Amino acid sequence: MAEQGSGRPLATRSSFWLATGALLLFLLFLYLWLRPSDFPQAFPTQIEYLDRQIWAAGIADQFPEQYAAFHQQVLDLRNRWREESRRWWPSWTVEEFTESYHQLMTSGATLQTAAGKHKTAFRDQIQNILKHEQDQITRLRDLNGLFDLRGRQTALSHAESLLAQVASFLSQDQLDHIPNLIRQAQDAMEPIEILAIQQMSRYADSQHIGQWNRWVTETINLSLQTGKPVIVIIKASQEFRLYQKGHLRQHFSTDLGFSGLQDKRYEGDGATPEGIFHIVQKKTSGETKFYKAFMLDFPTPLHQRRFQTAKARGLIPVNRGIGGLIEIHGQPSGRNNPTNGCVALENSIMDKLFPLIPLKTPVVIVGALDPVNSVSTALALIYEHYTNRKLSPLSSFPSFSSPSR
Amino acid sequence: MDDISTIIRTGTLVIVCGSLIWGCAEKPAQVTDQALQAIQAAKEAGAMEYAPEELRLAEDEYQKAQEEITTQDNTFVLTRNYDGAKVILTKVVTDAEQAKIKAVTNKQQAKTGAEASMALAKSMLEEAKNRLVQAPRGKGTQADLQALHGDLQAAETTFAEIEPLLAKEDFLGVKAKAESVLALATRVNDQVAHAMQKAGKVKA
Repeated sequence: MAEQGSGRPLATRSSFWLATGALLLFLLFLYLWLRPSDFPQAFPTQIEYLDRQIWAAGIADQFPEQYAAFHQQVLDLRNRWREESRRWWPSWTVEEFTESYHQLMTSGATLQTAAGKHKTAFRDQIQNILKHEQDQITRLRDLNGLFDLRGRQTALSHAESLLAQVASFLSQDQLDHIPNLIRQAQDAMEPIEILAIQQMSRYADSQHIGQWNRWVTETINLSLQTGKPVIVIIKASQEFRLYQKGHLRQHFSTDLGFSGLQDKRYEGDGATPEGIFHIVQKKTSGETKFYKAFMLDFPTPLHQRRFQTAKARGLIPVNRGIGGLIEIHGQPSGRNNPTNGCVALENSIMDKLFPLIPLKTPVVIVGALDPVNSVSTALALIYEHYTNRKLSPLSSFPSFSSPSR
Repeated sequence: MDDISTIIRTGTLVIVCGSLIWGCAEKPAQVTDQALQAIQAAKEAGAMEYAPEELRLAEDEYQKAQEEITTQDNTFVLTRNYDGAKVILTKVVTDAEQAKIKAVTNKQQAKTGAEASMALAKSMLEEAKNRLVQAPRGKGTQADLQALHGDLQAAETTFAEIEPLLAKEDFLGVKAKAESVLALATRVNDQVAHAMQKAGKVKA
């Protein structure tokens, strides 16, 4: 019985242990498979959100290398998370994952802050440039009536239109169009600036100022010697001065030619001639269309010689003469009413002056008497802005493409 | 004991067959196509321009789903499971549809805003043209008139540039140009009005 019985229990025991072992293995497998992972069930979305925020802010364009590195780190962390969270025995602890995640969040936030500051600085820079360019346009526009802007007004208006577009894009936070528009505006302004600088430089030039002062001093001395009145007209300050017996008696504001800051070169140029002239005719109502007028002896022989020389050198347009009929005349309204080259005073002032000023009264027309005058001050600002722009060209601007482009 | 063996054999068979059925899960091809189509539809609706962040979210999620599919492809056949990828792809479809909706809305808003700016600029430009004809003329107004004509000419040139931008659906560009036309035309109107008032043509 013992031998018969001992065979079956042995086989049964083996099967039992085999089954038990298989069951234990299965349970172990099941446990390892189903046991809750220490890793987060889902990859933290905050880091992906931060990645998108950084991208949307256009940082990928401003700092391409830094952004590419950050984005790759996010992808690497996500892949690592995916691999580790599936492993039965992860090679990475949750703490290590968490630390990497926080480090990446910190570097992303740092990148975002740096880019934010960069963008703010860029916006401030654009605002600054916009203001300075608009101020420059205003300065050039303010010369209208003294500086010949004919044929250049559209370019100036075009520049202003481009700057208005810059302001619009800035308000829409579309920064990528802006540098190109500013460059176009500057290109439109530059020829006008150069011309203004060329034409106005005489007002800051000591030789010209010295010459103008000599003319004025000679004429006032003449008044002192003869006791007769003399007239001094200063273009920069648009001022009419009446001297009697060498002393300033009266002074008034005047208007000049539409290119009045220039010395007259030929007819129709809108410039007001410079030099020492004399009143050759006093015109009353009916003799002039400008209420009353003092006719000057322009062109003098000196002006004629200068004109012929310039013409011979080809500096004067072919069909242009020297011009003439330069007067000190009346006008109904107030100032800022440019003439074609004459000096204009209000009618009421002409009434006052008419009996005081006889024929042959000397009239000196000069640019300025002081090196620091309104024109040289305006010129300094125009020139300063022009040179500053040349020193810091727009090519150094950072890229600010919007995310979609 | 035969019973126990039978139970073990049957249990093993059930586990193996179950695992095989589970492990032989197919790739989520259909929902992948749906996700791609949804992204494409969003792009065609202008999401790249008008809902870039939403589009980027959908594209990021799509990439994530592809990573998940690749991971599952490299997993032991019996444990392969694409359910996670399917969930992500379903979200891609939703996100892409949201991107499309936002793009359509934003684009329409931009278009409406641009057209309104353009209409205002056009009417102000017409007014400026008419006013400039009536501006007082005289010897002394020549320089001022030239300045105003310069403004008007620049405004007209800029306005002519708006139509091509509208055709290209560059509504932000349209708005910027229309606003610059408006600024120039307004100045012409104001200055002519001032000059007329000064000349006594209009009472203050």
